Amino acid sequence: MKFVSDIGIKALGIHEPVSAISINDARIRENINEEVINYMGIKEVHVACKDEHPCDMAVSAAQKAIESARISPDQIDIVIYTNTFLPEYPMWADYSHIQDRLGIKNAYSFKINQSCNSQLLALDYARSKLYMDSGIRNVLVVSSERWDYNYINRFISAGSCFYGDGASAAIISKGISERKIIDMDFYTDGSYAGLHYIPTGGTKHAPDYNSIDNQLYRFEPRITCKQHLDTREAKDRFWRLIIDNNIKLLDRMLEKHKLGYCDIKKLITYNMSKKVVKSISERTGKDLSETSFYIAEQYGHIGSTDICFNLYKMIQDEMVQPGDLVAVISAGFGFSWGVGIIQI
Amino acid sequence: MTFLTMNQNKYNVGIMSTGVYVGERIITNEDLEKISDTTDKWIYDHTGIRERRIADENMATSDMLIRAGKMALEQGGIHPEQIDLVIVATLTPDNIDPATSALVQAKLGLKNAFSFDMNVGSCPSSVYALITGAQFIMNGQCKHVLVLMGDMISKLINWNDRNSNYFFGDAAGAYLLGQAAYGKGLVAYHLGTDGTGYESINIHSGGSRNPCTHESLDQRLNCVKINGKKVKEFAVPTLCSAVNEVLQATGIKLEDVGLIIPHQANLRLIEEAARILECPFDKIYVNIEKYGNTGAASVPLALHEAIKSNKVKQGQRIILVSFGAGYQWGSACIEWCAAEDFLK
Repeated sequence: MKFVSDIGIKALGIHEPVSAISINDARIRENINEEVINYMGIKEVHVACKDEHPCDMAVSAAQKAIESARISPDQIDIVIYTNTFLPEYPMWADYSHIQDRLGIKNAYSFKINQSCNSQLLALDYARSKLYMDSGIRNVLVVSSERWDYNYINRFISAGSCFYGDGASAAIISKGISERKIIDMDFYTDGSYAGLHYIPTGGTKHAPDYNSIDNQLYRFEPRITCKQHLDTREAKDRFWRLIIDNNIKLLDRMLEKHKLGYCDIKKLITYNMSKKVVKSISERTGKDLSETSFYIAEQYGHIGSTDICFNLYKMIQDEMVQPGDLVAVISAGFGFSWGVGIIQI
Repeated sequence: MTFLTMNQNKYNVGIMSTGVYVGERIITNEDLEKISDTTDKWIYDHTGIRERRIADENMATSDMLIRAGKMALEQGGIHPEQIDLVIVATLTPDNIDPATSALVQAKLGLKNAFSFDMNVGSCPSSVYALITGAQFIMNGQCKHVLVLMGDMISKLINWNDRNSNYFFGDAAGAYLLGQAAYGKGLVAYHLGTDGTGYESINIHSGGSRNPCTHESLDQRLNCVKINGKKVKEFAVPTLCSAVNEVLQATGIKLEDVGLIIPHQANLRLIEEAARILECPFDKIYVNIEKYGNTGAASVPLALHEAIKSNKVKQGQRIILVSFGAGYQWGSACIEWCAAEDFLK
């Protein structure tokens, strides 16, 4: 199957922190029950060390991608950074810092945020820029996440995943014959913006002594969701919607390209619980082994970095072959959904 | 990087309408004399600022953005459901997570749009966000894009600090972008980042490096710090080169430009740039005296006022210029469209 697009992922790079915590070890310490461990299916997460911050990991992943692309930093025209959860400082130009540390002199940089869906959006932005502006040669998309214990308990704060730290990067270029980005599409519904949020630290509630005493700077989705999803039915309905919207987007895209589920060899999803990924795979007639879930098992949900992280790993593991069509699928708080098709 | 957009892309893009919101409370230089060791004369002589507007304590950035967005939609005669994309550019989001755009999308009733946040410092974002929004129209993905820019820095200021309390005001601005007829609208743009300026604006406490504590609040580390001297050194040459870049790309001369709307950072810097550019001052729109530096809202607020005072005329070429911490800058040359220049 041939597609006209010649814009794609020239190279990928990842950063995985050396230190890892097994869920078995965390289970006793954090008092996680067996039922949760079973439906999560995540067995281990990597954890950044004390001095390993989002930009450090982003630079590490980006350097590997640049090296692998065999280009010089000066050949990069745009740097797009995503960091969903927590930057080093609440207000600073981290994207600019990354550009500076990579020695990229002739580019412009910025950060975009569509929560854990941000990387997919950044890939689409890069694709669009390369398509529209003949002067753009290479775009660096880099994502990094650190789930700092001061702000979140990576094991028990959320009910749908265990969070891991790490970074991933991609060089998007023209004239690519492999890893071509065929299409991407997005949907957002702000009516869920009140479900998951950090109560203090923005302009809604600037930090004060009271918010510190009451730990309102912490991300506790299980608590903030309660008022909206107070019954089992409400929760089930919500999670069905999360899956439904991804499937709707994917169906629309497949129809547009006259493709079916059978044309898609693998699903590269965000690293949510086994329950979520299995639901997606079942809806598309795939077995869990035809998804990226085996990576989620080892790394947990690394926020906005998941898609390129998983793509890198699946290529390394030869889980995908040149010419394969893969569907990339993610969603983020807010809520946002994104899907794409990439030809390996 | 500089790009000529006119007639290069699938669709041209124009600004159909603008909207604004400014904080309702006026803080004059005399008010600041009462709470810090400063004078009206010093502030005016160094910056040209007489007063600034502060939003109500119960408001957050999204409340200002929603008001500006509603105005732009009303003035453009576009129903919320006709909006395909909403972009929020702010350095002061409502919450650290999720994106403010999700909330704004829901409250504005933009049911058919997708949304995301952009972080491009504060001041430079008005051109970055414009170009990003324009991109989605130029490639045919969207027909109408709502670009919302705003900052509420009043909540992040140490009002007793004479080095930062005089500078900022709260405001939001909006551009409603639409498909323009052949040969109309955005002509060229230029964007750049110099990563060495990544620390020129910062809040030291509240991120992964320094969590917010009682001690950090005592030391006011949760408040904005700006390296004003460094930003000033960068600002004048950058403003001049950003104007020259788009002039060169379009092949037009300064005398052919109807109006330049620079980021309202400091009147003295704008005067110095006008002198270097040999640009008559009546060709530059300035409103900093009333509002101070309103960050991301500065250029749309000035553009809105310029339109209302009939300083922007159909067929005229105008240049928008933004610059600021990061260091980052952007300029856009637009041939101003009449209502009939937009495609239905």
